[in-house]
Amino acid sequence: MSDDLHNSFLLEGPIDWPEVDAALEGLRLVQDHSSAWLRYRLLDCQDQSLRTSGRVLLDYDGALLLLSDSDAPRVQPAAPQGTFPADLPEGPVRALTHKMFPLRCFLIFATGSLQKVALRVVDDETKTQLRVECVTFDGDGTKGRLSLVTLSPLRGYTRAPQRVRAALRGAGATRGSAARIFAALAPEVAPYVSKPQTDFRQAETAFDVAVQTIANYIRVARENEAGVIADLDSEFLHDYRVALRKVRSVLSLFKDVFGIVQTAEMKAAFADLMAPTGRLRDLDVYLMEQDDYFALLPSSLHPGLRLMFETFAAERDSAHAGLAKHLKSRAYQDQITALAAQFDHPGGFVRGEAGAQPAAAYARKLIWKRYRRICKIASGIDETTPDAEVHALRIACKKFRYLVEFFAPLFAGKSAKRVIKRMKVLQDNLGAFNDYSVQQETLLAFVAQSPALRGARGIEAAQSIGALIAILDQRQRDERARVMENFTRFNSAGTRAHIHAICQAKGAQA
Amino acid sequence: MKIIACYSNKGGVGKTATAVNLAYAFAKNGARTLLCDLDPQGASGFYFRVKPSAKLQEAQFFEDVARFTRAIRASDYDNLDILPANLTFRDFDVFLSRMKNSRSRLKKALKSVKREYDVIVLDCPPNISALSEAVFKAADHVVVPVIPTTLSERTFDQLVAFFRARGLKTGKLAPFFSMVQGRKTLHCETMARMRKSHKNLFLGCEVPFSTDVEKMGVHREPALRYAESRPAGRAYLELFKAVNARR
Repeated sequence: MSDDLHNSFLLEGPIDWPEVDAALEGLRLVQDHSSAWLRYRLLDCQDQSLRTSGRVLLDYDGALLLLSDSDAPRVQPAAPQGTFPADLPEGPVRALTHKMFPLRCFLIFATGSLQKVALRVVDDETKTQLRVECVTFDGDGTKGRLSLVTLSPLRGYTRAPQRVRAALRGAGATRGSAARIFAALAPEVAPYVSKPQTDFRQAETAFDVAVQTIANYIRVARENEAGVIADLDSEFLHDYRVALRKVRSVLSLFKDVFGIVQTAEMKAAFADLMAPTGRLRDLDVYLMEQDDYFALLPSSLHPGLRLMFETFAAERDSAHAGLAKHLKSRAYQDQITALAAQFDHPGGFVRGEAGAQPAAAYARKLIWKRYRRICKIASGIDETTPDAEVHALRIACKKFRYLVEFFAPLFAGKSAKRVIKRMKVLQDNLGAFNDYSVQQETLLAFVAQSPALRGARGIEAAQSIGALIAILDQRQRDERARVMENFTRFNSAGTRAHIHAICQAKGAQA
Repeated sequence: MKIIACYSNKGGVGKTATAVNLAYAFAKNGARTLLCDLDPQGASGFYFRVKPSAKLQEAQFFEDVARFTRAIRASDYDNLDILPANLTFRDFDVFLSRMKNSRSRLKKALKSVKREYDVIVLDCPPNISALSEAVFKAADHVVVPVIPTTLSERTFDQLVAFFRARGLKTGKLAPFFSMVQGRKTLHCETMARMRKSHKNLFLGCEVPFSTDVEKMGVHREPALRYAESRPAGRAYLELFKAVNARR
């Protein structure tokens, strides 16, 4: 396999090589060697980043083989233990996966046995004109075998690949691709979608959009439950929380779509679902950023910091155990199942006043309103404004982005994506401002409350944390100083025109 | 890119075997290598089972870069391609000048097929002519197999004289003793005498007279493929190292 998947073919069932040989006219096929049957595992991470980017990762015989629609295959030794890209030995697969999803662990999507056979097409002087590799997969859960044939043409020899291609096509083989290999090896696994898009052909009113969006995100949250319980990687919980947060923002942003009482009930129900997840996520974030914290302080202050992180790590274990127990509990399962059922069969909802409005008009009105709100908050911000106003701007921006995301398919081309992209620098800036502020509060609370901070080690830790807070405070101020500049850059004449164009329809400016 | 010419103004000295094994050794060590079979009597292509292309005989051949690149054939080994050609002098001259010129269409064409070469090995015809003069000018190194006999000594002296007469750098010459039979007193005496009279010019390696080299015609593979650990194979590896070490 020296080439990308462009030169590969897939066939359900075995390849009839004598038949291929018979079609070669003057050339012939010789088999060099065939491997034993080897166990394989099909790997990807939860959000299937490899599959989505046109790649397939196979783990067999102590090695990792990454096939790609656009690059040559990458091969490297597999990890003796561990499940994260960082656990892999140095190599091309580690380099790529660590860059693509440093926080995610590998999951096994399919297993089975495979056999590799190396063949060549030679002429009457036994000169090689084409190299052929055939991998036969015998999946554990799949019926029948799958053959993946990869041709490695040699320079100057065009007849051999032409004839083999024709023979393979004649036998029913089709062009190979990462997507097709993945689907064939793991037919049960649906592609993972973290940001499901509303199908507006099925959602004509504001009510329809709200129901469909919430149903989609409840599904995303549920897809992440098992990973949170098994504690596979930190991103399961993150995605779980983001999905629930989006549900909650639909409930608060889509005003008057549901009845007032029902809206309040659902808001409370989803807030309750999210409440037990907060502390674990905070601890995850601290522990992930551990190295950065150590880098901020001189090594003389490291022992104190170590004590803090040891305390966090211990607390994380119990926080995770608690959350896992909660997610497995009958009460939680009943509640989320009931909520999901409610949105899958929305007949029982009381519709609010705005529920019947056409989706597009409603979207334009909401987006325009949210945009005006951002502008209003921003116009009041200068050096003297309290931090609370900057936080308000952050929240308004986030809500605006969610809205644009929810309704993105309604707008022509990539106009919604473009608006979101223009906001990115501002949002990162506001996000960092917020993170530094929250981190300081948490550290202060830790100093004030943690029973671990006792005796000489306690004093040492308090000193380290004090120094850390001073640094974080300075960083927060630096971020704050950039907010207005970033807002002005975001809110350029171009962006204004863009948003205006999106929202430009009768009633939008109401 | 390095151009290495395998040349001898005397036939039957193991020149083609040298070109084939050198090219193979370069490719095996990771250099993208093109071996050009320029000797109508030579058999570089034969040793690699590559059939000569009928198209290459056409006069307009090098006018058409696309056709040139199409004539190149992959060998059965990684990194090693073969140009199975019997070229006229005019073609050859154009060929070399284009290979040398980094902006030439030929180089661009090779680049476009992702096959720019690190090393080009030329298996040259055995005579002193306008053709060989073009080779001497274009090549970075001229590897010359010399059988340690009186007659070969004379022809090698003629080659050195030719270089001096034409103002060519004799430093390009990389002669080595070929088909050496250590039991023959004449061989040993000739080698000692020539090493002395051409100070520092001769490479240290000596390729022995060996049936392993002759059997290349039977195996149709470089001797380094099947006799790497035998005296001839070891000598070709030494030769590769010596040529590869030259600037």
